[in-house]
Amino acid sequence: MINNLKIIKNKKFLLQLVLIIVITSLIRIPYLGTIPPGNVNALWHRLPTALSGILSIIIFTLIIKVKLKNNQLALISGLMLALMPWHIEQSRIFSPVMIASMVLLMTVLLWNFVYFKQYKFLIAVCALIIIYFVYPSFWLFKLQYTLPNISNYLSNIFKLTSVEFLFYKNDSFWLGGFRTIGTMLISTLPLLIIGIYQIMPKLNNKSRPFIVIFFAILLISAANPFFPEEKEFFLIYPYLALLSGFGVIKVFEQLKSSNRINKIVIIVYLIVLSYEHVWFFHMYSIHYQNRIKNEINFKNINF
Amino acid sequence: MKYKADFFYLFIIILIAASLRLLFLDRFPPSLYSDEVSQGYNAYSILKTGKDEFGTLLPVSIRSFGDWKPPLSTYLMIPFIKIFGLNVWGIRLPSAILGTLTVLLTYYLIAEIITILSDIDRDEWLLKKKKFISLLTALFLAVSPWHILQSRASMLTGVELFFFCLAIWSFLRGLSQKNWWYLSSVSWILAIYSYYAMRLIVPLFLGLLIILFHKKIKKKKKAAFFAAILGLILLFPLFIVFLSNNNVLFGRAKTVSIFYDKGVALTVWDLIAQDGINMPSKLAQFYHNKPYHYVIDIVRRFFQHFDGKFLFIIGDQQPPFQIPNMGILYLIDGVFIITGLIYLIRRKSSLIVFLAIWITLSILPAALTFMTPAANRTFTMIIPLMFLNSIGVAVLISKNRGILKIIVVILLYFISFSYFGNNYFVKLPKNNANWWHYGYKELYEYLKTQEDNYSNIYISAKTGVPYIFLLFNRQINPNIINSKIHRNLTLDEFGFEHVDSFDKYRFPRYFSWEKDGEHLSSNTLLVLTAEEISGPSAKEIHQIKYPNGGIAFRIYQIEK
Repeated sequence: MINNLKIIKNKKFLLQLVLIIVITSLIRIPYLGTIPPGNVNALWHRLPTALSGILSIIIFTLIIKVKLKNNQLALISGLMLALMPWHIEQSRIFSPVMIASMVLLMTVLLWNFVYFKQYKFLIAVCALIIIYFVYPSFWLFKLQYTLPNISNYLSNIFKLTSVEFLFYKNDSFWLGGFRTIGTMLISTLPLLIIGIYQIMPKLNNKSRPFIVIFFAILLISAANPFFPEEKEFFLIYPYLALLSGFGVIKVFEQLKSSNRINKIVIIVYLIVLSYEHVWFFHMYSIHYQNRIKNEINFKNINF
Repeated sequence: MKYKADFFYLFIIILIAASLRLLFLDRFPPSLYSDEVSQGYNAYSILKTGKDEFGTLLPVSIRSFGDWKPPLSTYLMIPFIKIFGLNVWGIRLPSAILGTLTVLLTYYLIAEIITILSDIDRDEWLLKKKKFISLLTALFLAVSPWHILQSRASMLTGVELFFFCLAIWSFLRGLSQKNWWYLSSVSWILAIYSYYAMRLIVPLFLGLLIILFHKKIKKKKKAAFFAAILGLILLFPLFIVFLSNNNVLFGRAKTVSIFYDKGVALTVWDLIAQDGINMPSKLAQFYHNKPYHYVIDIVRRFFQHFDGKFLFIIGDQQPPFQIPNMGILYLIDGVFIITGLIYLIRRKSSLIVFLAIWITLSILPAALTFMTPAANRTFTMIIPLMFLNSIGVAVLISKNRGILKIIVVILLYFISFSYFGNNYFVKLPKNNANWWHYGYKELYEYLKTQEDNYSNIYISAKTGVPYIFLLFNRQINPNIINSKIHRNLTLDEFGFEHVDSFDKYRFPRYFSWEKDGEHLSSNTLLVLTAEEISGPSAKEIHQIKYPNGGIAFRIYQIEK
């Protein structure tokens, strides 16, 4: 039995979602074959990833809407995801992990509309099979490697949760990765902190599965024998986007209700946030391109 | 009865702290670091002549190697050098004693903080557990690897932390009994005289306390005013000397600042160059400019101090502040600090804001330097971290009370402490003595037996400041130094001054055999580190070895 097919009744929500889809598509589709530089078949290799990226944002937004029953949070989190450097980077290259993440999100969304546990199990199995074919290089599918020792393992965990990795130097994907920019921009760190502060008191038993999934992704990524080349940690991005979404909502609430000094501080912060996003697009379109051109033999690899 | 039990526990904790800090100071760390030796010799010089090694009367800043050390630690050594002599005990005892007293002070400080700030939130649980958490915080500080390391060496921070905690505690006491503010005022100023970071932290922290408690302060305006005047009077000597020499206030802080380092400027220049001539220069500067890059660099360095690798795995990479194979906190501390943090966040406690600002201010001075993460410059954040640790442990033990949980916690800390003990008391002295400039004492003892046979003795200053070890080990009369010493006040690439020679001893800064070897006459002794290369006319006659058998110095006789 299917619970609820009519999840979008709100026209305002629909319009805003379409706007986010347009922004997402404008960032991910134009010049897909040439930015970053690629071989003659780059466009066709990258198109499934780009479409998966766009779909993942739509699905993510819908998940938040359904699960947390908060349209505003869903849309803002979706927008934060659309603008996330890591997500943009992975959407515009040949990235199996992006397709896998889209499949996983789809699974989570479908579970919300399916009542019987047998159907949920079937959906999960199908998802796993699809992921096996789209992301065959996932290290857990080939259990033949030596795992890191305890000291290196802890070191890897700390690295993945460090500000350095999250906001300054994302080297999880070295060849063709952005490297000199983190998974998110540093100006979004206050949003993340505010989001954590907002969500912490609300955590309860219902949140437990999501916390477990977060730690599972972290622990599996840290155990990757090819660390720091571990793309699995990319699956963490929905959490980052959601926390940022909470942060954005709180900031705008404060903007409406607080005193003049606080308002000035918030406005200055929003200007800095906007500036950094503009700066990011400049870095991506100019400096990242130059580096790829000089470093990678992109004509001979599927990139 | 409970009152007596608390004091009994506190007494045991102080006993533990004292034994971990005061015993075998001459062996752990294995030798005196150059900064310790410099402070010790300057204290000796002031004791004998009233002047430091440069001949400055009662200096408000110890010039030392051109890093202008804050003076309090040096002055505190004077009575100990008088009693114990110019040796390890005279130098390290003040820091060790104050480190022990800090543990005691922490108990009272945490109790005071809980009383005052929990009263605002009406956090009944925290108030009920006040004594337990205060005792736990003192205990965790007593066995903290970070605090033990800093207390057992005279590297300024042990003294800094004591006076900083004393200042805060007496300030909070003063809210109910105003006369404590005089002690607080003195303590704030002594903290400023103890460490560079305090020159930024003290005004900001004091400002925070004034904002938080302005209503109570207004009721005791007169006492606050006179306490402030007392502080300004004590600060007066520093201010007067600063007018003629700004190094006394900024000194080393200038040369380790990110603004002194060219890294950011070069990055900006490189990015603008990459944009090329096709981009208008103003637009290129809009995207790549120093203000933006400096800000994100500072933020990056700030958050490096929360990196788990720094805190729990490798620690500070600067040798004297490093413990082999571990970070500055126990791994298990991380679990309880997070638990404590979650508890306070869920309660929306005002304590979390206070502790967050304390930690932020503690890290701020370090974030403005290019040597990050730094365990010494952020040392004042150890108190809020141990406090959070204690709250975390108390929360865990309080839920579903069971003896098993307590046993597990004790066992985990016992294992952690044993691991630290092995690394600090066994491995460090044996395998990492070079971190502590080991070998100079043995070197000068050997040279004393040989020096009459040679007209010149060259000691390479490539990796250290050998001259100060000479002055220290021979206890050279401070009155005759300036007639025999030749100083080179040109700063090297790290911002340090050097000494070229003292009597027949020469200390070439950049010795290289190819360039300088030929100019060495016969009847000369040459001392090089193990990594430096000599030539055919240098005959090795002796070696100074590290405890693990590695070579610290090679001593050559020049034969031509």
